[in-house]
Amino acid sequence: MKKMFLSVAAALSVAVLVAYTNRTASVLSGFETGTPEVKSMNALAFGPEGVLFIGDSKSASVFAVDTKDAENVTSAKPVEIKNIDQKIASLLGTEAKNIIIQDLAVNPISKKVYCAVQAANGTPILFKIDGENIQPVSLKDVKFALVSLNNAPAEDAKDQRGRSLRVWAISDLNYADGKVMVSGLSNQEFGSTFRSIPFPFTNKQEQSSLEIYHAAHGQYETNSPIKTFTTAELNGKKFLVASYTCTPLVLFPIDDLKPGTHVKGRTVAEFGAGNSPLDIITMKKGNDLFLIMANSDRPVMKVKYKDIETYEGSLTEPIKENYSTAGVPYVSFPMVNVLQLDKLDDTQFVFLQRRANGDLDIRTSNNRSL
Amino acid sequence: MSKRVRISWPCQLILFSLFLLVSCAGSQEESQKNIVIRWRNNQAKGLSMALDQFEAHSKEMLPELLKVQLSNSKTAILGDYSIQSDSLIFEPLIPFTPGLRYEVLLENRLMGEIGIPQAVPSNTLIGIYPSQDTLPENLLKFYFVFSRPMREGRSLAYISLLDAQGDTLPGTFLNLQPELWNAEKTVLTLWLDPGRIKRDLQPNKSQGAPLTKGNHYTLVVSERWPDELGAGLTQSYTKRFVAGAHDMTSPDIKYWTIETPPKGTTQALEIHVKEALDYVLLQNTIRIIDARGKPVNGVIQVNNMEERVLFVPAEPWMTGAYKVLVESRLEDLAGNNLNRLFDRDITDTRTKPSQQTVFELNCQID
Repeated sequence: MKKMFLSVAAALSVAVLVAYTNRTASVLSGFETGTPEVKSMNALAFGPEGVLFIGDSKSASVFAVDTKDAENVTSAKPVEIKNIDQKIASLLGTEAKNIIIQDLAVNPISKKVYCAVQAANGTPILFKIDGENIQPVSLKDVKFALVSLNNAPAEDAKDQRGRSLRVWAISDLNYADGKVMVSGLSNQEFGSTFRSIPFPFTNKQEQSSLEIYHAAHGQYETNSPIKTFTTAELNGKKFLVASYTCTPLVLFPIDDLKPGTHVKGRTVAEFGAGNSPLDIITMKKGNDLFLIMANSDRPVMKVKYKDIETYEGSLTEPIKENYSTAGVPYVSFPMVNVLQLDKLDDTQFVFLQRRANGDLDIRTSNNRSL
Repeated sequence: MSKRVRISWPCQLILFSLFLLVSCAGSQEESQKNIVIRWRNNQAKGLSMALDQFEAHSKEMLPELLKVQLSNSKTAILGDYSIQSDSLIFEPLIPFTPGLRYEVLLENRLMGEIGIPQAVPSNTLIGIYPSQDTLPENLLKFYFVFSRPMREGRSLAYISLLDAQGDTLPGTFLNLQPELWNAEKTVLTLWLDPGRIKRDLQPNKSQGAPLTKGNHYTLVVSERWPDELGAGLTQSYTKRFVAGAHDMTSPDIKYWTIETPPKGTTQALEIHVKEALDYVLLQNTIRIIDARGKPVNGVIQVNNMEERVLFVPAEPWMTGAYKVLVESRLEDLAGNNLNRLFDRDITDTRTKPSQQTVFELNCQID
């Protein structure tokens, strides 16, 4: 009996310890309460426990904000809002031409759509879309953490002479496997920088400079800026899947992205000149994973990750015909002028689309299109 | 009798119009008296309403009962209400827009209407860099420097590059979002499409390079480009230039010369960089240290068409050895930096990039 009592007590102790460890292991434990000084919202992404990451180029920081929006919803209702820009502009007391929708991100827990808007005077405003309801998300007195993207202190010291600091414009931001990944470009020198920041934030920042070979002859090297990226597991290995301003699709093994390194990627597709990628997401249907990419001058494209897995080579031959494509096969959706994408739930994605009549709508696509 | 008092219908119409005019002017005056725009940094940041006009209502209930909306909309504008001494203040999330009219409603009854005056253009384009009128045909970027903060996001609608015939050249610039503004929103960095400049890239193959050696171009900046207050520029601007030779050489500091000032003065140390280099990077990549490695405080100025850098020290120069340190990220006009070419042929071992991050030049002040 005594033995049994001891066993039960031990089991209880372990359970309490596990519960306590789990509680203290919350990513929110290091957050402070206050009003983060967010100066711009260039990119949004969700992390665990309803944490929203806000990429702020103007203050060269990434903010992690506790949205307290962590009620689990498995399947979301489709979001369909016509003239979203006009509706947001009316709420702000202005006209649609005076605002810019910077990014959309879906909270993977609550399935609510978050939307970053910039007013004409540069003021950033965050909105949450719940069905037809568009409501502002106040950043007053919230739990938050932040990490600075500025370089080493020695470099910042140059500002003592009144020179303006380099702005690091954030082109995309994603969260995966305990890391916030940020791609960006400088307003001064030409190049591409990619940062991987462990979350919860510490002082440690891993920075890599990513280089690609063009699909032409394999002869010229470039470190062009990444426009948009996502992460994926291919053949059991984690990869960064990035698209550049001139649309090649490039793979970088995440294990190779070490601090201060120059990493050369493998170009697996060219999706045609005269076009710029705008957003990439990953969707699943059955056992197949798909990459969905929105473009400035081409329709939304779908690529099977299986095709990327089996594409062993790197594009090194020049593309013979103007505007033609090469590398892994893709399918074009009958969806044009899509500006933003995000996964709504396992079977649907939301997108921001400029319609032929000029309207800007938020719409939802179901997995029939996959 | 009745004939004497009857007023003819045209007179009735005139009188009625006069009555309307007087009553409209009255209500306008009334609304302006009751509702006052609160200005901060030339922006209409809020409305102030005297509390005595709400005597019939409790102060606490006012935020529930009041509604501010655009005159052509029924949507309540998002914002905060507060009470400051004898006024109720409404501050919208973003400033009211110049040129638009707004209504204030109390329990859905119109209390007054107010118009925000149009902003008057006061912003000027101080400079377009590079300043030279012959630029390499593989030019990578322009900088536009303004006197006041500008509006971000739609710059390409107001900048065009024209050929010698005055026709607009499409697809010259890279449409980046977010645009590359400095933190103050006074300097825009605009890249000519790098995909068209880089050899053998698809855009280069299909559309060719944006500039061709020997051709004349005009860069036009429209006066309609709004600043952050919504006002245009005071005028339009043009920059004429001709495309020169392709620049396929990294800047090399061994060709630079330094003119040192006399000791005990705060005269400028002059660095002649021998070719036009990047205007913004010149200001940000050069610093000077003394013989003990201590940074010398001072101000960098770039002039002589971006071929000369002046360093003016905060304190008089002391006798001794100094070093000019230059970060390798300094670029020429074609984006070639101190240790690699913008468009490098990896089969050419002579152009292998160096890993050096800082280059240095020695000088002596006597």
